[in-house]
Amino acid sequence: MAVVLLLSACAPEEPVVRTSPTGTVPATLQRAGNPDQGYRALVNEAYISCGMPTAAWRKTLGPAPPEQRLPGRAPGNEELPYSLTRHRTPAGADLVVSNCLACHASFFNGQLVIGLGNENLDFTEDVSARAEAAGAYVEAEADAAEWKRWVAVLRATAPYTTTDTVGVNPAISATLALLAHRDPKTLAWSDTPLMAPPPPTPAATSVPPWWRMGKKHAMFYNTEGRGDQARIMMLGALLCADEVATVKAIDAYAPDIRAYVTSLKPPRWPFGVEVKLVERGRTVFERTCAACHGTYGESPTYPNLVVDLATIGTDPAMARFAAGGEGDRFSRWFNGSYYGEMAESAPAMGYIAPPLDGVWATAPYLHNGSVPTLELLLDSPRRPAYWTRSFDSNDYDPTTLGWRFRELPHGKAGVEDREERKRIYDTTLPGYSNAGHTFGDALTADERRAVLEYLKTL
Amino acid sequence: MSQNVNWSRHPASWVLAAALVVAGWVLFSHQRPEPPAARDDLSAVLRAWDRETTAGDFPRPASERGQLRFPREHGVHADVPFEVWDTVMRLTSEQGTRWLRVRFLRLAAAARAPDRGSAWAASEFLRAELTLVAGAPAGSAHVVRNSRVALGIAGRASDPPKLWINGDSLAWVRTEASGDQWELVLHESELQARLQLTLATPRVTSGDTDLPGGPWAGYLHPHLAVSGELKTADGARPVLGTGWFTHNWGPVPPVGGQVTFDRWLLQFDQGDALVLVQTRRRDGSAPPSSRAVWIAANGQIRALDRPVAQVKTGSRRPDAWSLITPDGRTRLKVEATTESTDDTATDQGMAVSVRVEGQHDGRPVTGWGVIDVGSP
Repeated sequence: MAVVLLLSACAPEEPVVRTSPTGTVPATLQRAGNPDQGYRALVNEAYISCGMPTAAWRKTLGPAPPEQRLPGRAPGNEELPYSLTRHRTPAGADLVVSNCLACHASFFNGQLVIGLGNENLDFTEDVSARAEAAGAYVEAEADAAEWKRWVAVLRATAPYTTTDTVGVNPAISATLALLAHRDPKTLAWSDTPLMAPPPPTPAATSVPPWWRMGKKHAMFYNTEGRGDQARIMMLGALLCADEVATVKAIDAYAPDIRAYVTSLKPPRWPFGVEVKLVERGRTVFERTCAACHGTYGESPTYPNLVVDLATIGTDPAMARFAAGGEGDRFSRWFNGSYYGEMAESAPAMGYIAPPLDGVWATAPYLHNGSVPTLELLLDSPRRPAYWTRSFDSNDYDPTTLGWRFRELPHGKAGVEDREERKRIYDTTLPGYSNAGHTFGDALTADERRAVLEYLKTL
Repeated sequence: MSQNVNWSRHPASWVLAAALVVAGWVLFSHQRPEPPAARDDLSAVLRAWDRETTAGDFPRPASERGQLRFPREHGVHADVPFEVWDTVMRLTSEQGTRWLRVRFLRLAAAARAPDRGSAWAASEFLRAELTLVAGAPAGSAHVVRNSRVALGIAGRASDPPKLWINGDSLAWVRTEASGDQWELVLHESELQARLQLTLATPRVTSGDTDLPGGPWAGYLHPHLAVSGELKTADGARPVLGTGWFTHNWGPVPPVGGQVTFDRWLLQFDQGDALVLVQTRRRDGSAPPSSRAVWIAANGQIRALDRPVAQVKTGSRRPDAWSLITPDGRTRLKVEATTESTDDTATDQGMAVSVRVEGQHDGRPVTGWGVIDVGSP
């Protein structure tokens, strides 16, 4: 018995996994940062430190068109699109690596909007096959070593990053897959998973806009991401960071990036509004919506409220996976890692009602992107079960506040043409439901129109 | 036009297209392969050409899905430095089955003609390769012709599309307004032919298959009906057959690098076809990666789900393969034909004519095809 007790005393303490209650999310202290330095770091630093050798990039994509370039970039980055950053490794490899803007910047009405989630990205193909093929242009020894490292990660995570619908973002599933392949203490990579990876089909997820972050006490839909947001943001570094020292170096400037992100404001509605209707809409909104989504104007409020699944009624898969026990191993990994020193994975069995600043620009709606327009978000019986759209960032409908779409008589089942199938949003699939958030159904048509007009002004 | 980056068409997709071109430099099934030096020369030319055109004045070609227009696409695309027209035919006559491959290659150093006075000045280079495989004991014929596009020795026309080398002795000529039919004229001492090629199933744009893509553009005709006359040393005879045609254009393809590519082109008796591209590391440090599409006779395309293509026998020179998908929908057995038994591999790779049988979507399938095996 004494030996057992001794062993128990010496065994590493298992990190605690706890879930959070629904209701208000408490605030936590955030590290201060410099937004200007944060922008420079965002677009110049290689916080994702592996990628394609520059020589291969030049032969494949080549210089970006002017509308995809950003000002204020460091030398070497001038010809790159906003989504890529040049990186020279200590071993001499010359790489082009992804940055946060690959998902967190998008065009709207012809303008690149930093912070707007890109809802037109296509992750339906296994990118590791393409990355592998890029090796045809990799010659230098240092480049070859980095290319192999990059492809190894992409190969291992491909089953968890390949979606079946265009516009669906696999970031959550990709992150969980990375956790499965990395040691929580050392971050060392393993080609085989060290714990059970996530389910192979990524959950449908819409990319939230960055300008909400300043108001939110928890970063993600199900209120995971509590604590130091700067550190949580740098989970993205796990794609390539093979040791804690790499992440620590990134963490040194992460508060600046967060400061930049929280300084962002939504774009202004680029079309006209009916002023009288806006005022009427504000009244309806504050009566019907503000309790969860907050108020706007000179003295805004935001309650940071997690709504339980029974009340919100939206697709429960994401919340249940994280808070229902199945995802405990990932919470345990996070809480026992360097990330867990200043933050906590403590999901709630529900979803947070987001701030609605610039909501008109963030279609499609709900956490899984299952509703194409705000008009339909407020009128649940009319939501299409099956729909498709052009995925053209100029194909916006300023009347319905969302993407122009085409309702279909069928889902993905039975559609053999791959191009057609992957562009069908099928709400009958697990994780893709468009149910819930029925709070607008009781509005009259005039009230709904007024609320939509008001939302244009946020 | 969407201005968002499409990550599914990310970086290397078009490298596969280049692979389709490079993988077949060594033509299939010939008894007397070209001396290695000649092939090394070609690699050197491609490398040099690539350096030359990197800073050249070629605009980046667009290859948006469904943007191709026919018949003009059959002709030259002067805004890119590299282009290849590749026809593979399986011809039958009273004397048996023969395989004929005809490939035209165009390399351009500049998008515009040189501004010099000499009649010899040329910014383009054409190469034609013919391989006829009759099988043992008849042997094979292999012809390579290189020429600069100058002085009428070799040239190109766009209306109607036409390519020629050696004053029409090797020519690819469109003869029908829709672009669905054309003629191959071969007039070499070892091999003469006049063949009519007609589209038998719908044309497929490369972008629709998602195998090539990116800055590489192109299309393929997965089923051609072939008829005409073939004349070799043992006489002239009418032939009938079936064939493939691929036409790709874009940057100069890679020579070297960390990976090489294999390409499968298979035709099935029911009118379906299959294209597979396998990426292999030269140092074997990771398992090969394959992508494949099934092209139905009506032109409908479906990507195979995680295809696994493996060499079953023949480590140095493969002669049997298998292809299976984890969902069980496709299971194929592929073997080199008897005509290929005398095929000789070189350090640049090889091509093998094959027969195929198996199951797809619960029905038996049989057919033939060509596997271009990339360099080791």
